[in-house]
Amino acid sequence: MRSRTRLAPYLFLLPFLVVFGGFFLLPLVQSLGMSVRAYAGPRASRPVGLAHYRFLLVDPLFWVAVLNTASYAALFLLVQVPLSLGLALLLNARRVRGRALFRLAMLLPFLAGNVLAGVLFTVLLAPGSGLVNRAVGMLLPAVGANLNWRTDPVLATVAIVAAVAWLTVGWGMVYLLAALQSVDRQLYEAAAVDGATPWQRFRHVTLPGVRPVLAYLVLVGTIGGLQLFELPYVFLQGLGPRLRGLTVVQYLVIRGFDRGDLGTAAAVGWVLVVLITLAAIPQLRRMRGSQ
Amino acid sequence: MSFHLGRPILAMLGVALVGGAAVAIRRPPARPDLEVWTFAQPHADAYAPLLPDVARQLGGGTGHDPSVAVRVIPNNALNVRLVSLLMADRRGSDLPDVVEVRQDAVGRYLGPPAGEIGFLPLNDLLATTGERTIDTPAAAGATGWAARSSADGKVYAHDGSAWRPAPSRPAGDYWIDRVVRARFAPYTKDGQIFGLPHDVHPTALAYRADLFAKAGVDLETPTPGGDFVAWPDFRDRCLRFQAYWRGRGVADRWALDLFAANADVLAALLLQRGVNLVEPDGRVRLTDPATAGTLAFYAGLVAGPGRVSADSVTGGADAWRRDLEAGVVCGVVAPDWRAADLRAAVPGMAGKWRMTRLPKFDPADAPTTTWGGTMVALPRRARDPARAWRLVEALYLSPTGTEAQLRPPLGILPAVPDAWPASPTVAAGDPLFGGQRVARLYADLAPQIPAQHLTPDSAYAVAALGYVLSQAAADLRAGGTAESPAFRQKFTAWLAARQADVERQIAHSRLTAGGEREAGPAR
Repeated sequence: MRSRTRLAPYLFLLPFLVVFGGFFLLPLVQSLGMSVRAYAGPRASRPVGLAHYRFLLVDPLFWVAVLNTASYAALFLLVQVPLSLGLALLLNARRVRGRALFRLAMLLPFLAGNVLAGVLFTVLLAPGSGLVNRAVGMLLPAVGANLNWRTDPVLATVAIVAAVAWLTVGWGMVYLLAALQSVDRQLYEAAAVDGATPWQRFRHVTLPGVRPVLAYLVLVGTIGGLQLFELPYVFLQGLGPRLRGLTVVQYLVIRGFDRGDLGTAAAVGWVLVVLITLAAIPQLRRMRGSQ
Repeated sequence: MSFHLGRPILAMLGVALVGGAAVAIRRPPARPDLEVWTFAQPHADAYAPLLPDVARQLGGGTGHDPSVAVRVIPNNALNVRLVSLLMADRRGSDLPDVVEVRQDAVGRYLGPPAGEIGFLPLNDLLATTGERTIDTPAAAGATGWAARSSADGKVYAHDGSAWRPAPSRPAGDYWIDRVVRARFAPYTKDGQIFGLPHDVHPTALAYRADLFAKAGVDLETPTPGGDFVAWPDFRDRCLRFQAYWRGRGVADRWALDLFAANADVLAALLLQRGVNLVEPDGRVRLTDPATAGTLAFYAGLVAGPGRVSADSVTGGADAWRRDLEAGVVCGVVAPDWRAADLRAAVPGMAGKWRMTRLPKFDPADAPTTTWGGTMVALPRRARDPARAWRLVEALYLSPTGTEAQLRPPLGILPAVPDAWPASPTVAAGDPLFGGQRVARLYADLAPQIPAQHLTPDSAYAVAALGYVLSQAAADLRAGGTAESPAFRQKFTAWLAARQADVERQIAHSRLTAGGEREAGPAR
């Protein structure tokens, strides 16, 4: 009876362990093995040691992908976090009515997903006929309505950042709104009694109150940014102008599926794991500190 | 009823159980006996009416006609799925029996050593099937062709005017001799042919005859001293055309529509000059003088003071159609598939367009080039490659198949020259082009296409060229001039850097190419 009791937790854990082991741990170990082999077709491979990793170190294309990915991740955070916080502050104001409706409306884009966002922005930004270009043409006749957002490197970057912001701002706003609503009202009242200005209340009451959620959003945003793939892939339909559509995951897909070079693709995957870990560790430490 | 974890969890469990049961008991849809995968809906539409006859033909009157289906899968999905299936060493009904692969994706399949490539080498099938037959010595033919007479069983050869008995020829020509030879090159590795060319895609130039005539600019008269229009002269004519319309208040009218952000058209023009960016022996030709010169000239066509191109097509199909209708775009580099796009985009502009040959840089350049294409391949480990080949013959090589391909809306010249003289479509005038026999022009150009070679690194080399093109175009937009030594020096350095990149990629690819055989599929 006692041994059955001791076994029970493990039995409950078993389904998770089977799924985790079979679909996560095993492929992970296999991909590590693949990253040190060269594959030539389905039945031919040979060990090459760290040759794929050494190649990545000297391949400028890989570093373009790393730079693009890092810059997109930074831009996303710079746009998404302040906008999410601003919207959350607006919705948290007492005089706002229909808060649930606004919250739902702003969260909806997040449900659309990257691919739909890519398609949607392709239509919105079409030269001549896209809504955005028409608006630009009306407001700035000198610029005209024929901006080609997919062939100009700067415009392409702006478009991708805008599309990601459209997708994720509402999601961040929901988290921050929940955090704002949990800040103790008495702190605001005390600050007001002490003569704090609105900015001082925001700086010394609101921000510390939502800091853990902000840290979480930055962490998740960084990880998401580093994994960016579908949106530029759909929107730019390729590598884009001056390779602006080349992200680390896109590079991995090119190596693995366009060139059938599974070894290098696996190595890229592992480098990405390292990059994400390096980016996440300081933020996790900061989160722990703020908690 | 109570459930201690709550109703929502109970509901989710219920949905999971019902969904799981539905998936478990659902019978997978029956696979047809023969399945073709294609990325192009127009291909499937053209072949759909032929399928019942093809099935009957494959059934051979036994009463057991195989079921045949053409399945359309979006291009990227098709390639990801096929690469995954081939790398996992799947076989039998997991694989399509026949697959169409778009040419820009072919290189990825040709990376492994020839013996490990996932497609069946077709050399033997091409050399032993499809013997040409003629009913009478009056049948259409061309110089050098050989055919077996269905009347007397003897072999005849065509001398340019008629078929003559040719006892020295052992047999009529087989498919290997009946398909445009240069079109096998992109699908060949180490002498083994891994795909049948679906098309030739000779390339010409379509232009707005009405608007050029109003401007008094002729695009077709050869440049003095030659028998072709030279590119610099052609550009000057385009600038005169634009100046005429600018003088009449039409500022947004461009002679051409060339890509400024990718090198697809530029690579086709380089091919016309005999330049494959990556040659079969691995030589990279980005720093080749012909490449540098052509790039400098092309960049001047798409940007800077000598710009003659609208770059509408990168705005999408709708923007392109609108610009064609509005006369913003007045000329298009047009392989036969793009002429079909043009017909579909502006059917109401009948009679306003005309087709002419491409300009050339040098007398030694080919009179045409080829842009795009489709390879028809048989996965090596599919169910029954012999039967799949008979399907290929019936669907892609037979007179009914080639005519279905030639007819609008597909309008693509097949790679089988026998089909051209016999085709009513080739003989007919094209309404969009004022009755001009456009298909005839393509058929005349088709045998002269340059040989194109594809390697796993070709697509990367084209992307690298596109990168330099966009750098050069940006420089010209910022005030540079294509002829200045400073500009040449800059883009020569850019090309050298990209050449080094591609060479590095190729050197790394050799790691894989030298792979040894080991047991078991890649996982």
